[in-house]
Amino acid sequence: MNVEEFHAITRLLKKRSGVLFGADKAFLLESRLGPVLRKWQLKGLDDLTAILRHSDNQDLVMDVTEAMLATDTSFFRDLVPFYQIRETVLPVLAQKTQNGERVRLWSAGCSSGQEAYSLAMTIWEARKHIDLSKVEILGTDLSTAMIRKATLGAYSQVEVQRGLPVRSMLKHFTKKQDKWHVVDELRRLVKFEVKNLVEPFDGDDEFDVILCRNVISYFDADARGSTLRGFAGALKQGDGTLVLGVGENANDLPMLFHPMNGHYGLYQRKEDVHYREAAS
Amino acid sequence: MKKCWVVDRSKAVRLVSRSILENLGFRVVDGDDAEELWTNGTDEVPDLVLAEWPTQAVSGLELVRRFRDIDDIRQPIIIFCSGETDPEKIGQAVESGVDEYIMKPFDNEILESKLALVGFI
Repeated sequence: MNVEEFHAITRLLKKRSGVLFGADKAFLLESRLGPVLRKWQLKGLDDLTAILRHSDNQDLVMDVTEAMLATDTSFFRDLVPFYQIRETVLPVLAQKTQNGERVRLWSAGCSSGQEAYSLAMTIWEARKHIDLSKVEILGTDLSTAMIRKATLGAYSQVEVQRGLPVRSMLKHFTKKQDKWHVVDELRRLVKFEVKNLVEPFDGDDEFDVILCRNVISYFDADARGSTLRGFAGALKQGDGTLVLGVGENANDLPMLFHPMNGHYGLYQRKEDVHYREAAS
Repeated sequence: MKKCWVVDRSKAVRLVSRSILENLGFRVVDGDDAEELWTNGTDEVPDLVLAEWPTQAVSGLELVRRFRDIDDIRQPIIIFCSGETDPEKIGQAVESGVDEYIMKPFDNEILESKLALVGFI
């Protein structure tokens, strides 16, 4: 692939998703776009970039974007965030549901849904304390193919083993033919939608918890800032919790988030100053 | 250095498992017969046992029972590695006291994630 082709494709990805691919990722383009070339019966990346430049074929654009953003994911990825959620966040959510409040959690950039279902399992395990009828988990991803898969909640033998304890697999999945299906009592807690994180969030103060892990580290500074500001707008002020991934932080926005002491990657949404003034 | 037994009749599975485990810092003893490892190796109890289920001479369940019947040792983590994918049969293995269960075929990500679940990574 020549430099021009590489830039044409990375510009497209940046525009569509906010994700910035450095030159060190050129090898990924070649390996991941192979299936797209075959599907569209294109001879090579030259043909692909020519079409992308001279036409507005949105189906092709989506295929390229999805192929490049495809990430391997696993259940309970990194373990620590789920431990922290169980120990620190769930007691607060449990109290809210006991007070009759609805609680909402958002798995942003959820890929094929493993994180959202991991949250559902974590909450289900705490069902003695938390009213499940008051819980809603939203999973969003840019990729329609990923959201389709997540909604289906059916995983291959390889996928269902990544990160998932065998006891949880037996408890929360049923096997039909060669797929492992999430049981309905978990699926009821979760819904999925296509969403581009770089676009403005149209809700307001809706979420108690947002998990966005291993996503913003792929964004450039502008996209990262706008995404985090979007999260600030979507989180409940005062006690809304943002969970970021390894090596990610919200330190550029100290007016909006403060790190939770002793918790790795957890940030609390600050209350906006004008809210406090209005209340006093 | 943590010690691991890998018991599997398949040489390919033993080789792949050994390679992954050695990269993670384990000292690996492998064999195709659990009885042989049991006879020769019990003076030094392993930290981890990755055992095919069922094995030829000693079944995986028997291996679990033998370890669990010894009171005065630090119990090894036992992970079954099996072509059995029937949830009911897997449930029987879990009830026997096995710590984790891997369905074959598996890759390094699955093995590493299972090791993380049992506290080795």
